[in-house]
Amino acid sequence: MSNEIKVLFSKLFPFYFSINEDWKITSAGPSLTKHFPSILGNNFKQEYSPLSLIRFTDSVEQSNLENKLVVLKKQNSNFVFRGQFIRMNTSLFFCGSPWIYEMSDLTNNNISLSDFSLSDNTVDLLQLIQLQERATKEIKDLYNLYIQKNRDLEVSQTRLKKLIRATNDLIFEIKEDLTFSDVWIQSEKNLSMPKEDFIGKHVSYMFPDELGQTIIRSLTEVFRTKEALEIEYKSPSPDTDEWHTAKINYFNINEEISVTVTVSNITEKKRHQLKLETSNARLSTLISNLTQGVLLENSTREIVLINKKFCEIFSIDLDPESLVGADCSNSAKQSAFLFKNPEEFISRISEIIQKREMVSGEVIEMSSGKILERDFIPVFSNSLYLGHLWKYADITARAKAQELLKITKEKYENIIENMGLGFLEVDINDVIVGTNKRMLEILDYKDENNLLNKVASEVLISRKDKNIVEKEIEKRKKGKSNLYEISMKKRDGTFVPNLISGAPLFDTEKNIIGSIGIHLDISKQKAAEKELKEQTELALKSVEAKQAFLSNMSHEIRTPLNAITSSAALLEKQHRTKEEIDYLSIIQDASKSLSLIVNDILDLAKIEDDKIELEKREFNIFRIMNSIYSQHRLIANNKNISLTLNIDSKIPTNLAGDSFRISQIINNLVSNGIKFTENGGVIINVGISKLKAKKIMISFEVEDTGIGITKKYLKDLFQPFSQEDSSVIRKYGGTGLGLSISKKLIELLGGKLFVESKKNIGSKFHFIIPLSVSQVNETVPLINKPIDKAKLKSSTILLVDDNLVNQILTKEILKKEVGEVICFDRAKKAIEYLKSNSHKVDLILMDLQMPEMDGIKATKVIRKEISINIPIIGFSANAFTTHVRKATSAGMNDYVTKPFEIDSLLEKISLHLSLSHLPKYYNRMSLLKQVGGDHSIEKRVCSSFVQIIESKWEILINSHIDNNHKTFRSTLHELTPSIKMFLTPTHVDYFNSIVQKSKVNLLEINNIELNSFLNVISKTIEEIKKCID
Amino acid sequence: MYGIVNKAIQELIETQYGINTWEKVRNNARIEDEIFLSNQVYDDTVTFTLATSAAMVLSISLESFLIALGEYWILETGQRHYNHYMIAGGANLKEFLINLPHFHTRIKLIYNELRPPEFEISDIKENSLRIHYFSTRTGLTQFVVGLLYGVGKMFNQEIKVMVESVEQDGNIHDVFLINW
Repeated sequence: MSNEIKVLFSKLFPFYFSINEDWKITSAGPSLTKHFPSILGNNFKQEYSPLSLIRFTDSVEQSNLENKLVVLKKQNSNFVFRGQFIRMNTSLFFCGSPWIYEMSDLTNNNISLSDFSLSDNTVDLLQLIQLQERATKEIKDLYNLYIQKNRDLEVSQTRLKKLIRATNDLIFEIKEDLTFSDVWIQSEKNLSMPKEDFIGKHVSYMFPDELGQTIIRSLTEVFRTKEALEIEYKSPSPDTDEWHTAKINYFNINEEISVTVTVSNITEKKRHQLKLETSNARLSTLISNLTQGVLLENSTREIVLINKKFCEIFSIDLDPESLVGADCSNSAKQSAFLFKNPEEFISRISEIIQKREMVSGEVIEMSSGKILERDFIPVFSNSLYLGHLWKYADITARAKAQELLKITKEKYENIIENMGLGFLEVDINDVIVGTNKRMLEILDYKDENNLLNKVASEVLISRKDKNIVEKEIEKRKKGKSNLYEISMKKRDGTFVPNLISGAPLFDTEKNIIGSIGIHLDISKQKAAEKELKEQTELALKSVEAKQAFLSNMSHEIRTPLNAITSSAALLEKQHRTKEEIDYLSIIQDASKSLSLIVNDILDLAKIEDDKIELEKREFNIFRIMNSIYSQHRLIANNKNISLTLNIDSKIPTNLAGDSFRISQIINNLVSNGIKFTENGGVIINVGISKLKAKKIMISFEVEDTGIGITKKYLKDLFQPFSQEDSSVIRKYGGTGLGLSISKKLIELLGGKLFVESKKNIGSKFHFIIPLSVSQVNETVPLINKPIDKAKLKSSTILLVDDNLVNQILTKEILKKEVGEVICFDRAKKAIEYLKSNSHKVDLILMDLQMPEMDGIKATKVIRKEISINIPIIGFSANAFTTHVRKATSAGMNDYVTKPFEIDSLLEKISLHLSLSHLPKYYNRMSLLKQVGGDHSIEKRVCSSFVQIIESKWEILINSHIDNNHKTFRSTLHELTPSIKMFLTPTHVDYFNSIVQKSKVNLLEINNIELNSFLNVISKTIEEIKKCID
Repeated sequence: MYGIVNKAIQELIETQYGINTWEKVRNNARIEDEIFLSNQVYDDTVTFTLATSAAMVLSISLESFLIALGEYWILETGQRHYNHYMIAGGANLKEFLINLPHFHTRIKLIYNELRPPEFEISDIKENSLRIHYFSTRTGLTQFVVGLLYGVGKMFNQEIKVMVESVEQDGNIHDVFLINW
């Protein structure tokens, strides 16, 4: 077979094959070999089977197949071929194509169009058939749609009929020539004539007169414009008050033009509408006058209602009514520039409108600084969205106030936090509702939630403090603030002391809603306080012990010493042998030494305890120095040494200061000088160091030619109990306290003690102290008055002393000088005596330390209970200043320590006997001192005082009655200098208390107090008048 | 144009944008037909109006819509109406494109009232070839571009289409250079 034939067969029959006489396949088309690459050489009968009556049995001859149309099934595949066997020479050719039952066979057998001959239309025809099938289906679908639409139309018509039946409306169909073509109505009863009679009639037949003209005009308009139209009209019948609408709709159905007129009775609707309009008008008026900006929009964002305030807020310079119906859909963008954050404003408005949910109290800030509060209320009716209402309120003032409140609150919270103060807030039921970080720290809590909502008194308060807290809570409930200390229970059950400042909390109606407490942890202060208290108690105990010891020692030594010296004094006054006088002298010297030692020890103790109190009184330095000189001159003479006193005559005679202590220092230094000098002598120099008008610096020098002091010892010279060496103690005696006391006293007086000394050459002690120059002429004999012996002789002294020895000795000494001495060993007995015999007594000498009732208590009873004003002189071996102060404050006039010197005691008795005639209220002594004892000046000053008092008297009383605080105070203020000058210290104190009270509140001074005070003043004036008359 | 094209536009919009959008497109195009018959010949204006309306409703350009329609035609409409017939067009992309003129000749015979375009293939290389497109209609170039992209996707092969337009004898003759 030639190649040309093969090519031709391949083009025409791409699935062809040829078989030889042995049934072997010898050639095949490209499409066949593409699908079955190994077909060549195979036996045809094994590769193909016939789908026909012909069977490829062994007996089948190839000639049986020639020119036959056969259908072959390819073994082991889905291919079916249809074709014809043609004999060419020795080969039998199969000319055919694959048979396609369905288009899917192509893909199932992986056949493409190029496997077919270009002229083979098998596949195309099959495809065409399939497309026709699809087209048929589509036509069927269209038919079904048509059927469905027809059914829908029928349903719609039925529904329409039902609808018409259900309504009272009258529906006419009218043609372009304005004649009725159809009528629909619920019941023909509503028609004036049978339905059929309408058909073909002109519109004016149904609607005559003016109404008919209106309807005809409207119908013509609808036919022209093809747009629907609605007219509203009142029934022309005068008998009815009915309203109707006629809705005219245009129809063009299949070029058939008509209109329908639907007539509805809207009488009821009209009535409601009228009511609604009235209500709307009222609402509009209300909204227009609101202080908040209001905008009501419908569902399509057209303005339904807007008020003036809204226009003001949004800077809309138009009449609100003119805006009704305006479109708001772009308004957010237009007014955004008014706001601080325009973009946020726009997006938020859009979001709110989209969500259609209520918004309340949203705060926005305008660029002008104004703060607005926005509300949005969506309006629904049966789930139908009708529109929404915007409400804007200008809350600038409120917001600023809130901001200020917030800042203030934060400030106070910061202060509390920074001050390290705890904060606890409870409600009215004592339930904890707030706390701060510091409070948690104080109570050792980590989480606030462990405290919140718990009852404070149960969780934080100890049982012992519950009563305190309950009382404080009651106070707070009454609206009072308070400050108190309690122990707070910590988380671990231990307690921490807190100082709490509590205050009630009120709501806007002034009702108490709880309270707050500011807590200070005072555990450290408490610990320090406790330690301080312990230390103080210890120190006080120590001081008390020392005081008790010294006091007892002083008392116990002085009491017998008083007996010794008094006895010696009495014995001395009797006639004695020289030997007896010598012994008495020794007794007295020894007593004095002992007394000095006791005094020194007491002085040192006082100095060390800082208990020395300097006195300031007028004195004459010449008299004092002369007295000292006289005392020591005899001793110096006895030692054959000289004693010289040099005193500057320019020193004023009227100095003021503590003359007693100055004498004590000089005495000590002179006594030492004499003691340590064997040859030569002692020189005392007193001179002026510096002199001013009222101040003077006096220098004192005591120089001796004694044993001197070694350089080594000089540094320890002023140490208490120090002496150079034991030989000195043995030879010269002494306690070694004198210099130490002198040095300290000089320092107390404002000076400093210096010493220059050379061993075996001598020593010089010198010091300078400041003193005042007194204004009072020293010649005025008020205090250092000489003893008035006549007065003493005529006076009766009451002596109270439990120590019988001392009582007898004192009585013996006194009775030589005074008229009579009455003795009692118990204070109570003396008081009983005085109650009925006070007029017989001129002066009382009162021992302090006595059984049953001591001298202090007795004095108080005498002064206050039985009101006796007789001078009382304290009389005791207790020599401490505290005792003196106690005595004078109890009402004693003076104080004498045991052992006493007779002259000193007599001097004091004499003084107080003369003073007892001085007035009680008028401080005449003080005034006389100030006027230099000049009675004429006293008279003038007193007259002036009386005049002032009398002029202010009524003003003072009336201002108190009128509660005129200002006048009362200013009057008191004017009187103050005079009253202080004229009244005794006790009454000045009373006056001062009145002045203090008047500074606080006039009501503090009650009538009784004021009357007592006025009584004092009038008594003072009485006394003054007596004195100056 | 056969109703099958209008049907393809309807199906594309309904399946990808919803029935409501299709209704908008149809109303906008003022086309009253609710159903298109595939084998019914419709006026070309119906197809062009629908395509223009769809582009308008979907807010895209007409070109973009035509490309989308081309792709949809191959991947959805073609698959549904000519599934095996199309697959038989070629065993791979290149073979399919080369067979395109023969395939279209067969289609032309099936739809006897069709005024189909004609195709010629040239410059066949390993990874590219040129398709010459002759049509009596204007404005469908981008539809062809979409069809070609659709064919690429049918064979899961990414292709690039470059339009090289040439006018010949008053007819449209577009040349597409396809690379893959």
